[in-house]
Amino acid sequence: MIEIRNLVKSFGPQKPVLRGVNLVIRTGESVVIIGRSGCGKSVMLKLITALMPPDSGQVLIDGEDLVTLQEQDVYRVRQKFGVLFQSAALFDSMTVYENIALGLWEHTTKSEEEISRIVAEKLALVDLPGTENLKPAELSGGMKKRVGLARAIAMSPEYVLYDEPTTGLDPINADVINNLIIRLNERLKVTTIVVTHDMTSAYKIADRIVMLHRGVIIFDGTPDQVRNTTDEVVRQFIEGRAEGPIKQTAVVAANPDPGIIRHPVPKRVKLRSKVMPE
Amino acid sequence: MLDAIAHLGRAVLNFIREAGGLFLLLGRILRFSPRVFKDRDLFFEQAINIGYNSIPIVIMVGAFTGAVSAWQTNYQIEGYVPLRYLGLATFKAVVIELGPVLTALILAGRVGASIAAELGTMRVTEQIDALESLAINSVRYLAVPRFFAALFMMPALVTLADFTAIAGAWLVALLLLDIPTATFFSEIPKFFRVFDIIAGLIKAFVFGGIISLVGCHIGFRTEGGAEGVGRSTIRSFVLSAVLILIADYLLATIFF
Repeated sequence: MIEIRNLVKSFGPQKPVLRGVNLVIRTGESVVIIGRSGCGKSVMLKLITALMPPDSGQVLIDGEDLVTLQEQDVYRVRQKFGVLFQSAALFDSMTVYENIALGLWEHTTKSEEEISRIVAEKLALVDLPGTENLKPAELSGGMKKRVGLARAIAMSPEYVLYDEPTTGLDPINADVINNLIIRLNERLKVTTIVVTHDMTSAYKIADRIVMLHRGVIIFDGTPDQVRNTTDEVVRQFIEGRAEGPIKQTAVVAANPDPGIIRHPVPKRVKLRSKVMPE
Repeated sequence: MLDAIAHLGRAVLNFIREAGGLFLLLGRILRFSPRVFKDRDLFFEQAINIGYNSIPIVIMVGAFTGAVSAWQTNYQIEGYVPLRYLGLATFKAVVIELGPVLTALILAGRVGASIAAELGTMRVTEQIDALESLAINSVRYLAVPRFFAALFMMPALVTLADFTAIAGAWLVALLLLDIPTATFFSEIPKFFRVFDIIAGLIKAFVFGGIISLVGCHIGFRTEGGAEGVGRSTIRSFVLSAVLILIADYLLATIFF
């Protein structure tokens, strides 16, 4: 079980991202976190896997608080996770086989034969058998995501985290990924957390949908509850309307563009204003 | 005036932050140093990349450094000092100073900037996060092999540069300055000190550490996409070059 308590994260005083998030994800559940771009969904995934430290709050993984654990224990707990990154983040210099086998080489004493069997099995699971010797540069966007998924599940994790799994894919490839996520949930019995703003994907995958807005969770319910909600903010988001309570400024306030907020007035302008009155 | 003070303050803070980051990374690398033996494949891969692949440029640098040293030393001492000392002067200059420093400066560009660009690209494309999410410590996996490979390859490369520099100087003396081989090498044994060679190699060892440490530190801290990687590459070269020159001065005052 993952328990998030009062999680706060900001990037400097001007850029609060999470302002006290509380969330419980039960074992075996499939939770989708939705929200606008820049609302802190991906940051939340990085905090859950301790890839980034929070300003305050707790992240309890099966009762162990990742925030206060010693470094070696953080790495031990991380072995419970498999993460599919937005860009797949495959290691460029390695083949597909090496990408998937890396975790097994590092953390297990399995023979190369056994590792090779596991790699083939995981590749078959993501419908990419026989691609072991290809380099990431030779793969399409959808294939990269599937190899990234095979790498994420290579160590048989308990929790699989997906960061925008369908972003940048055509609708057919996006549906292939959605089906894969559902199939993996059923076969591997893992707990799934998906971060996305693709509502088609969210409805298809989720047992529960959680909406993050202005650094806090404003909605937590089943896909049917989301469809029937009367909450104006959630409705505007799921219907994809520009008009409504969510304004552009809301996102800017939560995640301000440093170029806008901190850009100094050019010195020439200052000088001219001093010179002009003369 | 206030702007100038604020600018200076920011520069000092940045310097302290950078220096602190470098030492923290060095501490983490040293903590994982026993893993070099277990991760020897990674070490050898980097040793080949940093050492073997740098051989052509090091030979070029060495040969031309020696050639120009002989030519200009001849110009400076002609008429004041007997030409039989040309070989000795070139030898000392190359072994103590020119070999280690010029090789290090060239490798700060070839190796240091390449480490910063490679790790920087891995950082901005989330590959370092992916490594960490596989419960693999990125400092142990990426920085430790690069640091130790550079540390041990630099003295070897500087030795190669020294040999080619002396060969370059000898060729210029023989073919262009009409100094016979026996005359060129005649004074070197009389004034040869093993410590000169050791001092040059210690310098190389330190410079190798600086180049890889700065490359890794700046690579890990890269942000801002392709533009950020470009900035990191330049910053890595500039910071390495400055630290190499400062370290060279400090080591010279200690050794000589």
